[in-house]
Parts: sequence; structure tokens; C-alpha cells
Amino acid sequence: MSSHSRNSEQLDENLVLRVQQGDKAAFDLLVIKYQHKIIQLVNRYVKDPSEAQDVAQETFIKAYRALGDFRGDSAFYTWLYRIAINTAKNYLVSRARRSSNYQVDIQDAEAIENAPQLQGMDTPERLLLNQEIIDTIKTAIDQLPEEMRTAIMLREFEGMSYEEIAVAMDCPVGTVRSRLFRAREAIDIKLNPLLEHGDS
Amino acid sequence: MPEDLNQKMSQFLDNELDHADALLLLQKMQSQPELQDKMNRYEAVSHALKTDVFLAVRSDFSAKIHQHIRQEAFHLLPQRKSYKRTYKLMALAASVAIVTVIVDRSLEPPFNAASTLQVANTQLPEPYPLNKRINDYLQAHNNSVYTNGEADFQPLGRVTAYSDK
Repeated sequence: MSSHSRNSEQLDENLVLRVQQGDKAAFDLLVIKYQHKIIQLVNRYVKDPSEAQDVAQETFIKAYRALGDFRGDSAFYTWLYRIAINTAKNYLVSRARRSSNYQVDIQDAEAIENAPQLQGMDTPERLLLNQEIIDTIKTAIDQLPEEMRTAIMLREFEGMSYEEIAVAMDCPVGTVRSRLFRAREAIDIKLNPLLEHGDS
Repeated sequence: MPEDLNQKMSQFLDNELDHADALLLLQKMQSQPELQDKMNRYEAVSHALKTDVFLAVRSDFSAKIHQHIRQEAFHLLPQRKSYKRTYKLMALAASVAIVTVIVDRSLEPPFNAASTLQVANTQLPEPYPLNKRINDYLQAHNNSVYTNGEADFQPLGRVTAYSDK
């Protein structure tokens, strides 16, 4: 495990302990830290961004209620991911039961995961907007200066650490840090107008 | 938005921010929703590059959870269960007990019949007939006398004051 992962886990342990001692604000920090990751994970099961967010909210509330039982045998995020997966599977089962349009014999959540007719909840408008956003991001990356583009590609596609990128690009770690945040900023500037108009 | 803060958000996204700075940044995001929105966009772009799916987070996502947990009834609040502490104490107590027994046995001299007899002799009280000890006890406590075939007494009979008539 890298020192940065240890830092992250240490931060989680610290926040979990604070919640267990009655500090509700510490749980808000855990929500902020993990909200996007949990929504991503849940969306893989639910296949609907809006419903994924409802299920993710339920996940956090369940996690809050169960935090007294969390003994730190595993990392907090693996424990949280487990709750998210179970909540998503339960949601799939209840959604299938509610649905009168699909005559699917449901044995369990895994069966639903493999039933495409129960998964795709994307509207054509949503798909179109998603494609527009993806194209904007890719265009923004293409338009980046060479060194920024290389840095963001090594980070996002190769999963390299800052030190590894510094070695690969033969520059100081501080320069990598700066190139990455400038690249992200440039993409964000191109993306923001689209998000303000769209309702993804 | 200050450039330094943007850079820290980028580092946080890449898990390259140290513990103290990460905590400070999270606290800032808690009080400034626009920072949270920006972080969510950074994360959404990162995810979209790998999956071709852009997942925007509702701006009130964390606020709704915040509201919900503040309305939680007292009995639902998380309370740390002290499993580890209890197990540790039990393990410690068991270890102390085992060590005590082992040390005690290892310090005991090997069995020696002669020395045991000697100890027994020194500890035994002086000869004192059992029957006399019982009689002494009963006289002292109950004004009753138990006998064992002595004159004027029936064997093991109980003589009491009310037999005058």
C-alpha cells in the first residue's frame, strides 16, 4: 500500500472514530469524500444516474446507522462499498417486484443484473447529452498543451502516481502536480457551460 | 477560486494529499458547496474518461444526507462497541491466571512425605477428645448435653430443663 493510500485510510479511521464518539459533522466529511465513488459503484448495478443517487443516499444512511458496529477489521471504504453493493442489489429486487411490465422470474439480484430489459433506464435525451459531454471532454484534452495532455493521460489512463509521472516525463513532482491541475481546470472551463444548460 | 485550492482538489482526487491537508480541504468543501460541486465535476470527468459515462452528482446530495442524519432518533445513533477492549481485558486476565498457576507450581518443592508429616504435626492442635469438644460446645450454646454412654446420661440422649415434672 502506498503512503498516500495509508494517508487516506488514516483520515477515514480518524473520521470514523469521531462519528462513533458522536460527531455527526465528521460523517458529512466522509459523505463528501466518498459520494461520487459510491454513486459510480451503485450506477453499475442500477444503470440509472438518478436512481443511483437515491440508492447511494440510502447507502450512506445505512452506513451511518451501522457505524457503531464497524470495528475496523477492514478499511472503511471496503466496508462502505459492501453496504453499497447490498443496497443496490436489494433495490434491484424491489424494483423488479414493483415492475408489472416485465415477467421475469427473479431468483436473486444477480439474475436481475443479467437481465438487460431491467437495466437500461437511459432516455434518448440523456444519452445524447452524455455523448455531448464526453465529446467536449475529449476535445478539451486534445486541445491541451502537449505536456499537460501527457500528464493527464498517464494519470487517468495508466493510473500512475505523481512520482512515476515525474520520472516518465523527467520533471519535478511539483511540475506534475501543476500540470495535472491546470489540465483539469482547462477541461472544467470547457465543460461548465454544457452542464449549466443540461440536466444530466 | 484560489489556484492553491484548485491544486489541492486535484491532488485530493489523485489521493496525493497528506492527511492534514485532506482534512482541511474536506472541511472547506463542507462549508462551501461550490467547492464540492467542483470536486464532483473533477471526479465525473475522471470517471467519464475511463467509462464514457458522465455521472453528475446532484448539488443537494450531501445536504440531504446531512439533514437525514440530524433527524435520526437517539437509539439509531452509532455507538462504538468496545469488543476489542473487552477481548483484550479477558485475554489479559486469562494470561495472568495461567502465569500465576505455572509460576506457583514451578516454585513448589518436590513432594516429601517426611517434611509433610512434620508440618502436619506442628499444625495439629493438642489432643482434645471429640466428645468433650462437642459437649463443651453445646453447654456453651444451648444448655443441652450430648453424652456418649457416660454415667447418669443416656447414650446420645438430649437432656433438657423441662423434664422436671
